[in-house]
Amino acid sequence: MFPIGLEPDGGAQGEEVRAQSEEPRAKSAGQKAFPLCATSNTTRTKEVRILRTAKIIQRILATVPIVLGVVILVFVFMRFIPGDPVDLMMGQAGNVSRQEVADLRAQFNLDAPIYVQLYDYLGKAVQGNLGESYMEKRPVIDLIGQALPATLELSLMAILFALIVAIPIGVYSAVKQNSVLDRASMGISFLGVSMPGFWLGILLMLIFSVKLGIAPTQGRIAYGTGLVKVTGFYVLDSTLTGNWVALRSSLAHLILPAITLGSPTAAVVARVVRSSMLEVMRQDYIVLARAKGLREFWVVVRHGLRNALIPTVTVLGTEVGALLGGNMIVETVFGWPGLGRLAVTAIFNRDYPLVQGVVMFYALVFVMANLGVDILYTYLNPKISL
Amino acid sequence: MLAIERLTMIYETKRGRVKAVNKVDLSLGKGEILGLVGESGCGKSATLLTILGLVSYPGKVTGGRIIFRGEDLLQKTPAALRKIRGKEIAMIFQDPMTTLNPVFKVGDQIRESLQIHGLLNEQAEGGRFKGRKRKESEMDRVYQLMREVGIPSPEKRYFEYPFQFSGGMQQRAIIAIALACSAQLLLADEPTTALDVTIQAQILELLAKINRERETAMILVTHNLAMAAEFCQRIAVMYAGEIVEQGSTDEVLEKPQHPYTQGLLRSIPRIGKVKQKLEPIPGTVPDLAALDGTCPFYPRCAQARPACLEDERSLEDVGGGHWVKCALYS
Ligand SMILES: Nc1ncnc2c1ncn2[C@@H]1O[C@H](COP(=O)(O)OP(=O)(O)OP(=O)(O)O)[C@@H](O)[C@H]1O
Ligand SMILES: [Mg+2]
Repeated sequence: MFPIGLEPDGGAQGEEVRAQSEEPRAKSAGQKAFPLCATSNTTRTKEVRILRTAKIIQRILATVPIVLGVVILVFVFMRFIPGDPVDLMMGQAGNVSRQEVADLRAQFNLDAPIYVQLYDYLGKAVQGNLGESYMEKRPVIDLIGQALPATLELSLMAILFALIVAIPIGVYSAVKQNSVLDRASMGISFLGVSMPGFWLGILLMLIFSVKLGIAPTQGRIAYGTGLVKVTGFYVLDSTLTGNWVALRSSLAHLILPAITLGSPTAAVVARVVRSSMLEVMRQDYIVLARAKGLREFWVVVRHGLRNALIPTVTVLGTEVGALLGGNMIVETVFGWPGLGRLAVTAIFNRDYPLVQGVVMFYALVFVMANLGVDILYTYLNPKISL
Repeated sequence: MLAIERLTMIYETKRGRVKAVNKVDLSLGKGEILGLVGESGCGKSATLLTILGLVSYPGKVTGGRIIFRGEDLLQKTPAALRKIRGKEIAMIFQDPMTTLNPVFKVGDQIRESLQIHGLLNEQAEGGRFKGRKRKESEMDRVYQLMREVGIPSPEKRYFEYPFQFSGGMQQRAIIAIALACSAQLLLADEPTTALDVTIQAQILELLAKINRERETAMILVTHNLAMAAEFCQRIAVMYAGEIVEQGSTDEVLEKPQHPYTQGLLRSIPRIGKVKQKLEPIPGTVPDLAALDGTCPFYPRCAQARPACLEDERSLEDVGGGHWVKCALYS
């Protein structure tokens, strides 16, 4: 008869056994099967949610040793930098007696051995007391409380800018591979990766502030807008209070530093989106989506981009670190009263408590941002759970 | 229902123009199953993709006609073609493990098919994708489809992701997607190659059932002649981008005319002949980028003759709807 290569008499084995044993149950339950299963389904998702919350809490707790480690390192390293705060103050004050210097050291607790200082510091820090800034003579926590929203607002805006610019460019470059726009945008993104942040900042200032005069160069908001501070996020506060003058002013102040800070991230993200889109668009499921009769736009966005975002989010996690580092430079260039600028001045002034406090918050923001990225990742990739 | 005439599709590559589909003629009646057999790389998948208009860069169709229900698909606008894709002609793929989108729930992927062609709500959406909110009535239709292709407890499995499905179950889900809009033509590209032997049989049985109950016409691509023998009414043999022989299953397998088909049958074991010597075909498959218009089987053919080097060959009827493309018969 006919050649053999396959004998289709393997019969009910493996999968079919499973299929058959499960099917009668579903069938006998008939129409009622659906509501029953629907309830079990909601309890299941509830369980998943509880599990997820527990894991998130676990992850947050796991960040404590990281933050602690960072604080201890900074505590020790700061004291290795030549010249302590008292030296600096005395240098400015002119002639002072040895006794005065010693008194001042004692007042700041700088004469004790370093481990005693550390022990004292941590003991107070646990109670929420981060000490008082030597220079400003104000509680460190107050200074940070003022600066943190400024930094977060700038960083979020920078990320937003990066994503809004980079994702469409990356997608378009991949879909129209080797087109003029692809080559141009990849060239620009190469510049974006390699250009130092302060240089782009100064360039933007020259063009938009000095030449065109359409954007301010320093600070977060113009004087006299009458902004009522609620959260410390000026864009949010001005919207909440309906103060449109303040909103305009704060956005105008925000735009140049946000572009400066976000550009390197945008460049990286555009490249990652492009390369992962190129990879994804070759996959079989893209052909299936087209074979279903789906419009090419939705094939690219829904089936393509949705998958390409998974590697992109991973890269975004590492970019958070770069962004926080970039903050110090950009905030200094644009006189942005955030954590970065606070850290830079505090380091120059050997303002130990302030440096320690700022770095602690830097570590916290970094760890939280990475946790956020991880959570986002689990939502994007169903195969991974926290 | 489907008539393909001298269809040619090439890939423009650095190595040259790869003639993946070369002057292919095929025809298929309503409810008929045609087996498309041939070695790996001979252009079987390329033929199916061309029918659906899914050839993408660097491939391009350079000639021929694809007459589906009286209309040439190659003349249709992209929008008109989209309305046919998935709705009237559906496709099943070779590797189920990579064919479902890993980030969407299996049920939603089946539901998307219904939605694209406006079978969920009254007005047709024409390939637009709208929202992800699921209505119960919509989900019932998906459950029904899942049951039809033998996915157990669809109320649960709707919400699972492809990686939670076995290969066989994934292929069933893909078949459900293909069935969603009751396509009259199913292009099955080696639907069982990636599966275990027992699962293969189940999937084939499922396809046979669909063909019986829905009268769906199918082109079944395979390089397994036994499977084609079991399953198809007619068989087309493909070699190096060309259809070299086409006819009823019995005719082609019992009275193979083309030297390639004869060689193919001699190279696999047959039931009945106990001590049969297996003879592989000598030589290798030609490079599709280096074809010169002469018979691509010429270098490997035992019956080669000067006439084989003539440029034009066409499918000749050797009687009873049995067609052969070979200089021996012209
Ligand atoms: N994107 C592409 N670019 C260039 N050449 C291609 C491309 N896709 C396929 N080809 C070539 O086209 C020819 C036909 O490929 P096709 O996938 O149709 O083979 P097939 O008969 O389906 O083989 P298989 O049994 O392995 O699936 C092959 O020689 C292949 O190398
Ligand atoms: Mg193939």
